[in-house]
Amino acid sequence: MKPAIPIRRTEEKILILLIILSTILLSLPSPVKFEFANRFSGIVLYPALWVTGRLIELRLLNRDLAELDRKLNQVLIQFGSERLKASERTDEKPDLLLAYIVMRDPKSRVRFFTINRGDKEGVRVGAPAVYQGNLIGRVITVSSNQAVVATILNPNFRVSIQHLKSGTNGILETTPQSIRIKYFLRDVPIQPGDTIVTSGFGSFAPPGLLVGRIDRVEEGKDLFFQELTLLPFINLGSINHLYILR
Amino acid sequence: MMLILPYLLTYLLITLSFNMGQSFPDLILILVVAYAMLGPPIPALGFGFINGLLLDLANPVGLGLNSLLFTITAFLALRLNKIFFQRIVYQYLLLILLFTIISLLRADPLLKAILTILVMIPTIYLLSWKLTE
Repeated sequence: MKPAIPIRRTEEKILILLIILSTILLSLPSPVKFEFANRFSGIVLYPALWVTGRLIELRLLNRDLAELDRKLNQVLIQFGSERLKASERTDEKPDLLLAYIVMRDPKSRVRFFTINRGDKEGVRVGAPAVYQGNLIGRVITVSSNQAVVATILNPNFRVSIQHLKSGTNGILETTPQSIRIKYFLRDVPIQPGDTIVTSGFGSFAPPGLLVGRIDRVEEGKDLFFQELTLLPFINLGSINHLYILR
Repeated sequence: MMLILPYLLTYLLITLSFNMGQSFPDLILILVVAYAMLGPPIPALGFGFINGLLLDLANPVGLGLNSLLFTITAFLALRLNKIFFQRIVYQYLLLILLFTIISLLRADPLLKAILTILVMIPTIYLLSWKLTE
């Protein structure tokens, strides 16, 4: 059977020519090689080098930005704890672990997040998830490489909270319809827009993390407690990363 | 079209290989082999040489090495084309081995060479299948 493309003498001549040319290039002294490459690569490889340069720049900027974001979160958490305990000022920086949200619950997309950090990185069940000084949720299950975070919008999420102005404590409890604050005394003056932070009492979250602002205040039927509804500061649908407090 | 398209593809692959680092198969080598098997013979030799030269310009320490290797590769792929028409298994394996050696000569880390071979085996098999049709 004949080959589809017959080899001719011309090809062999061209091959020899190209081999000679390559050998000449190979035998050039190093400074000449660099001079030659510098002169031509700037023109011939300009688009490829330009794209590469931009990508490297973006990668470095992204790394710097991630570092700045981590520092900002540390400062915000420190600031949060100082807000409540001004006398117990500490320079100890919280140990934050950056985690990217790799999956969201398919129904609401804001009640459960799967993150790309797990047991190997020191994530533990119950660890709080924070973002810019706000409490996002808590870790509920951990495997070696990933973990699931139940957010504050997840029904049955509970955390001990504090009204920042008055220092009055209460319990935050999420229902399928809203985020409610229970056991908040009726005689404490509270306005829509007031800030609520974590109290740190008997809960997984440290004191001073922002939780949200008061949306509605209702008298209710209870003799001792008010009925409050809360809105979080952070739009959980728009974040793509968070920090785990180790 | 047959003359310009491979160069555009080369350019894309060079940009990709700059950014993907060492854990990226040597797709330019595979492209040279594929072009030599499918394209016209004389431009195939030039294509091998120019591809090698483009890579050499990016890394001028061994200026000429890639162009030499790619020219020889293109010629071997042209010369050994007839093997595919006979479709004898050991000859096919011999060809894979040959390109493996070329790939190892080019690639510094073993991972890159292994990845190249993994991509090259089905490519050459598919090309030989296409040419025998």
